[in-house]
Amino acid sequence: MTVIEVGREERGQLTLRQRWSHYLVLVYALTMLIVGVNLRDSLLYATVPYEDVRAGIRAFYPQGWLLDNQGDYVFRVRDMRRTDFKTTIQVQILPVSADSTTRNLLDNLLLTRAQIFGQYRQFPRAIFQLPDETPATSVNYTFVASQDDPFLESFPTVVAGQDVVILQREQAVIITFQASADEYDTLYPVFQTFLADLEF
Amino acid sequence: MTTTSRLITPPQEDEIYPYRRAWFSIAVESGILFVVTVAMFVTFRLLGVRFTPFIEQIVNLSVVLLPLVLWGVFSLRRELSVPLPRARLLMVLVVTGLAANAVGLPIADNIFQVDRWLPLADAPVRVVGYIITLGSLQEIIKYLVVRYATFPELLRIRADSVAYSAASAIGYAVIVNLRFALDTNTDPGTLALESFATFAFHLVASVIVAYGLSELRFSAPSPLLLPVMVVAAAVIHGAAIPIHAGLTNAGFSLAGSFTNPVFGLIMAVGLLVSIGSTMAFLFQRAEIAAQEARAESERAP
Repeated sequence: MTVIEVGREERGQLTLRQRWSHYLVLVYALTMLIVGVNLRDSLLYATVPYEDVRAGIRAFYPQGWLLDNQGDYVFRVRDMRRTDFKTTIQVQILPVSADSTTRNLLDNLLLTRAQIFGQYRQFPRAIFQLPDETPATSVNYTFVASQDDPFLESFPTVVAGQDVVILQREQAVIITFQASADEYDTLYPVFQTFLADLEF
Repeated sequence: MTTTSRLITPPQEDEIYPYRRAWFSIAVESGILFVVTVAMFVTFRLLGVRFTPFIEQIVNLSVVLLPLVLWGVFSLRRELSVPLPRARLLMVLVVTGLAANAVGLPIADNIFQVDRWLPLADAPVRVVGYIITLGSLQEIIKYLVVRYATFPELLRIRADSVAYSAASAIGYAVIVNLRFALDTNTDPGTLALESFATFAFHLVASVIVAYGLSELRFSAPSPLLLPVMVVAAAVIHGAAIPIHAGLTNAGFSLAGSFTNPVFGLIMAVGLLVSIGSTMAFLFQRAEIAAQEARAESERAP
């Protein structure tokens, strides 16, 4: 009995040279993917060191952000390239009495901010752990911000923020992250990187 | 009396070329697209003609889909009228378009996130970054589609790789332009310039990869030739994106801020003509070398 195979397309056999060429292109593709992601991270999450010996703080803030240490905080950095709300990371140190609790501090923050920010809303507080396993408390909130310059005629921006509060040695360290609510999740890794490198 | 013989040499029957001439189709499509682009630029940018937003949206979609229509008329339709048509031309175009939409653009947006860091980087970093990310990504996707759809059995002559690579380039360029047209509120004149530049960069880079594929199919080059051609295509395509943007975008001066769209158009045309003719020469040289080698082997005892 003879078996006749019908309908099978005859495929050309690849030579060893052709195979290796194809494999090399695949290696190139994989290499470029890894190098591309690495290049992205090195530029997107590039940092600049900052040290305040008096406050005992050492940090790495995102490259290209505007540093400001003239206010009632240790330092504040803002991404001035943003057209809506300028993404902000701020470190503040407040002296507290020995019997002060985190709750007192956060209540005080709530009262202060409710007067400064429009439509300020706070979410439930949560236990937070810094990358070096220091225990802390975090609170998330939202408010509505508008451009300082009224001639820009822009719509207000909904801002999402997070305060991380650490009580130690009769002082409270308040680390704040604020970003446009639309971009909050995208930009949060910047804050996580900042927290991972922060020393106080 | 002398008589002169009046013999007439019988006409030789022209040998019918059984394939569609891919280079001719590419030249015609590019030429028509260039003319339409210039006409759109003059009409909408220089003369300032404006329509209602709805009609402009329709004009924008027509501009973006024009390369596809031209390809259908001058490549696909002509392919059907030759004795030996290329079988998977439409498939390559459609699959490349789908791959661009399903793989290329999501990787560019979500993994490389080029819009977040590349436009703001320094010029050298910007060029290198675009080569590594968008240039490589786009050329590899187009290469993979052509490679798995056609190689090696559907590459019967060298020009086959040009025809299939051009189809993949148009498939990818149309998707990129379609997204640009739908995501931005651009006037048809600007869109035509942008669309032509994307078309030119994709076509030029794909023809470079086509040379690597055809050499690998019909000659015995080093295994490094094809990867080098893919890298060259990625470098040219990747570098062309920021350079074109730099030429086109407005620069600040004491006189004000003006865009230079003509510079971008000149660059796109220059790249298309210079690299296109160089690659056509290399293809022709490879074909002549192959014919000479064949004749030599036939003469040998």
